[in-house]
Amino acid sequence: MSKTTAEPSLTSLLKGNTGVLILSILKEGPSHGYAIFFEIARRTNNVLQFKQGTVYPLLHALEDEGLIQSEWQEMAPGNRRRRRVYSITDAGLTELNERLDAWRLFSQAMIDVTGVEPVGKRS
Amino acid sequence: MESDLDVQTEALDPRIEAYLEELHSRLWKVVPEAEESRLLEETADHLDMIVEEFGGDVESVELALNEFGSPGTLADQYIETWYNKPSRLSWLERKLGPGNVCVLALFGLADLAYWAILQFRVFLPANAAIRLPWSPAEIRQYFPEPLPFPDFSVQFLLMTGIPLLAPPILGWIVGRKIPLRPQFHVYSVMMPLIIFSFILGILLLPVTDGLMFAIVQAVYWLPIGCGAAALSSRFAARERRKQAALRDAWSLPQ
Repeated sequence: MSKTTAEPSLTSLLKGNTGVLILSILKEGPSHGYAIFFEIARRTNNVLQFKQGTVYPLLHALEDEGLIQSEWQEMAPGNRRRRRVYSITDAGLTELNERLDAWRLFSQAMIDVTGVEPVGKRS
Repeated sequence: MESDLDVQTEALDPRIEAYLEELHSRLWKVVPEAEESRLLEETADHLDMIVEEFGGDVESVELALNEFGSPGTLADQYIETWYNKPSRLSWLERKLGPGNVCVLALFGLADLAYWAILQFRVFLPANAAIRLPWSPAEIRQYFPEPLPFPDFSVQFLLMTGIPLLAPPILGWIVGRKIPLRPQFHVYSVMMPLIIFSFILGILLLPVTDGLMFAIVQAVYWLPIGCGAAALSSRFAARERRKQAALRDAWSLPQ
């Protein structure tokens, strides 16, 4: 499948799963919006792409659902600039584990039916 | 809670300020000020980081703004997220969607009012209608053709007025109340209402007023309601952007 025909499919798949990606990143430790986006892009080798600004509505939605929490952190002593740092909550961990279990079942079912193997683990 | 606007920070690039100004004008009076301030501050911080990543020169700002996405798209996404936040919704809004509940309340009431009056007209004797002082003869001086209703009564006014005036007026109100794509909510709610009207119209046969109303809903209420909602929403957004631009009070942390 050419890249141009794959992109819309990836975009639609990404739409329902970006929350899982964010929760997975935050599971490893607190982070801010820029770092979350950068980490997703790095781990997927830029396969999953979206405009960077879209991460904030998602973060705010996840926070409203109680899956993550956030607080302002000063960037340096004496510097009044500050950064919003997000961390996962217990409810977020539970939700992440449930979604990953569902994803494992789904992806295995897709592989069983289509015979398409995953690309392979990237470093 | 400390106001985010009180926080001091370094001066921003004018293009980033213009971007934030555009974002502010789209969010102002739609989402709460505290949430808007938080989003603006996070956006400014994020853009600064992208600019640094690209080298911090003049071109970096344009690249950063392109990478971040258009302020209109970001504002729409944020408004949609905020509008559908479960924490601010009632039980019914969580089940049906806040936009659909708003449209159902307005258009549904108008629909029910018409059906109630139609029942009154069909099943009550004609002399139960309240009459206005003008006789049919007096009215015929101005409208020589026979009117569809032989009596010019409050009932006639309501049964003509509701089908004619409800869609543009209620559509306009819906457009003011729902911040994003109100026409889709009007469409979502009107479809089952039209089906409901057709079913009731069939039950009222051989009186055809009900079926006529259902057809009027399909060919007039639906497009006019959607159009009025879309137009009203556009005007409301434009007004907000103009007013936001005139405000001195807004400033991103300077």
